[in-house]
Amino acid sequence: MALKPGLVFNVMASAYRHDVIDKSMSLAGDAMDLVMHDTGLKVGDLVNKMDEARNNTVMRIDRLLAWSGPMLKVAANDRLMAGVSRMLDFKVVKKTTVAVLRRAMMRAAMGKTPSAAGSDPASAGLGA
Amino acid sequence: MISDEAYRELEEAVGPENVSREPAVLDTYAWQPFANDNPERWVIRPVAVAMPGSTEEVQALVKALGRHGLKFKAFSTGWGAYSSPTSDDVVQVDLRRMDRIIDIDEKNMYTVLEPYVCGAQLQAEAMKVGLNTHIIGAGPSCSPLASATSAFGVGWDCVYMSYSGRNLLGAEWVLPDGEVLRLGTLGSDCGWFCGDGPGPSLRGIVRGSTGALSGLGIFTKAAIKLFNWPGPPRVETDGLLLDAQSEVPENVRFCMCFWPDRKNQDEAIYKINESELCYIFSRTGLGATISIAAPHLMKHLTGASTLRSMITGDLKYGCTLIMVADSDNEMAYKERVLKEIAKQYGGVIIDLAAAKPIIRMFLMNFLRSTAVPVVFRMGGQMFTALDRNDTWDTQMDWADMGVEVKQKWIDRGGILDDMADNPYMVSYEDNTWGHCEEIFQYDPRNPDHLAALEPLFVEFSLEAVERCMEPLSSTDARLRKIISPMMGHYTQWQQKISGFMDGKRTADTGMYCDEVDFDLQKVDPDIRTRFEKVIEKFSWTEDGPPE
Repeated sequence: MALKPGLVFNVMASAYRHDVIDKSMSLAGDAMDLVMHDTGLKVGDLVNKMDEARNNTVMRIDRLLAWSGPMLKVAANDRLMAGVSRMLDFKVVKKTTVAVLRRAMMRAAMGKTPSAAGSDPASAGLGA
Repeated sequence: MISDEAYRELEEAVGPENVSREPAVLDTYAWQPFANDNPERWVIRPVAVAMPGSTEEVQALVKALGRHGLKFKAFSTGWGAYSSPTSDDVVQVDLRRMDRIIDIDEKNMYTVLEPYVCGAQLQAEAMKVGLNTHIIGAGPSCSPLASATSAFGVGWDCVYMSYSGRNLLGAEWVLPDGEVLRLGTLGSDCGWFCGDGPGPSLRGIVRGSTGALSGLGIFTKAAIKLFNWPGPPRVETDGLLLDAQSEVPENVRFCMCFWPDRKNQDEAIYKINESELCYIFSRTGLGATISIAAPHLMKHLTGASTLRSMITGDLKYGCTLIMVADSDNEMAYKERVLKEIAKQYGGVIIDLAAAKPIIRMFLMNFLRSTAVPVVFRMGGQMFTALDRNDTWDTQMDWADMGVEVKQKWIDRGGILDDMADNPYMVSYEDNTWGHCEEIFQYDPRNPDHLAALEPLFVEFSLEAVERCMEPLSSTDARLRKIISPMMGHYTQWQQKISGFMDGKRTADTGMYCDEVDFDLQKVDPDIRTRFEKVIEKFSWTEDGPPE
């Protein structure tokens, strides 16, 4: 199922209009900082880990994206994005988002979750 | 081969410890990282290498070569095959002993330096006094003097710091007969502040748009304009390339912008640059960024149709910029203007300041242009297709054309698949004019890739000529012979200048004004026919330009 051209851009544009991009970049940066702190990895290492992604992983993401058209259409809705933006102002949402991102990055980079890596998951998001 | 007598004279000119004809030493000059398109041939080995340490030694060297019918080719920091000999009677003049920053004039914002000073050194010294230097796209290991006097000059900072040749404020020039010519105010003992006059300027002869690549002599000192740097005297940085982590100054913003389509992108870029917002500005395809940062991932992505269409479609039109400011108010103003432009043209601005590890990695890679070496990661080699610097719109036309030509050769297996959209685009002087070169990557160990290089070069050249643009011709004596008649027989004028200044033919003019026949037999017959038609249509006659 082909993704309609412009759909991804529309989501980005809506996210930008409502500051969701700025807010999520900040949270992603915090998560990345925590991963680097916990693992000793550098940005270059993370990029190299991404470079080592297997073909089936990439194809799985590709299929997911191909089927995500209806969801993206909803996500591009300004009212919804405004709501997401407001939610991202709550400390608990920020902390949870950082924790989720950190967990995902850790799994991708090290093949294990933060707790297995010896860090306290409760501290996730302190920088948020 | 060089005679014993000639070699002895070279030793007398620069000292025996600074001359060599050892084959192993000479071969170190015969491989350069860029434009070495034939791994068997490399570039032509010089007959000897000499390393002068002063202007006087350069003069003595050049005179000695003239007496023995040998030629010289200057080499500052090197990088491309452009600093290498083009015939088998050339002595490589390696200028690495001339490595001093002679002066940084803080008040008048210029530096005087020698050939082997590299961009990174100069930038580090200039930043200490609140100044900065233009660094070319080849990276900070290259010589600012070489690009200002003799070769090309584009870089990410061109939006603020212009093109290398435009920043030349004076030069000390050893002519092919060994005499010294001092240009501009320097020639009148008035210092280094102006590169032109009194009387007619020689700037056009010194370098034109591209430079004579040592075909008219050797530049031993140059004054180069410096620019404002409102950041700290030293940007503390740990690590290199993708591992780099810099302390990001408060008054620096790093933004990625995306636009819904070409029309909105182009208009927004005109507005952004006319508003004088940028310190660094570039447009590069997202696929290109992935291909250099994560080349293995790129191979998988090329087969992922949805991701591919997102990268080459939804995220196609974008640009990257760095803004700096002297005050909080100035930065606030710039940010407001950028947001307003984004609003007007439906753009998305991603301020990377929030993503600290990312901006810490990117900052000096862009400010110092250190990211350049990673472009060789994907296949080991890359090359580029240039048109003539012109308005932003024409450069975008060139970028779009480049995608079409490249895709055809990607499909044929002639070059690596980087999703085709891989332009290196910058804006000069707040968009007075623009630059686009289409990068393609290849594996020099792959015979199919090597076989594709020449037909691809011809095809890009044809596309440029059909658009009344000049292709990357100055360094290729074959192409120069074809296009010179279409451009007022410019080579004939260059040859007259060369003949006037270099009666003994001591300079290696292979990349300046020589011409040789182009064997187009390897080229697709349709392309050849198109080329023949365009030659017939655009060539000048003795009466002048075609109707």
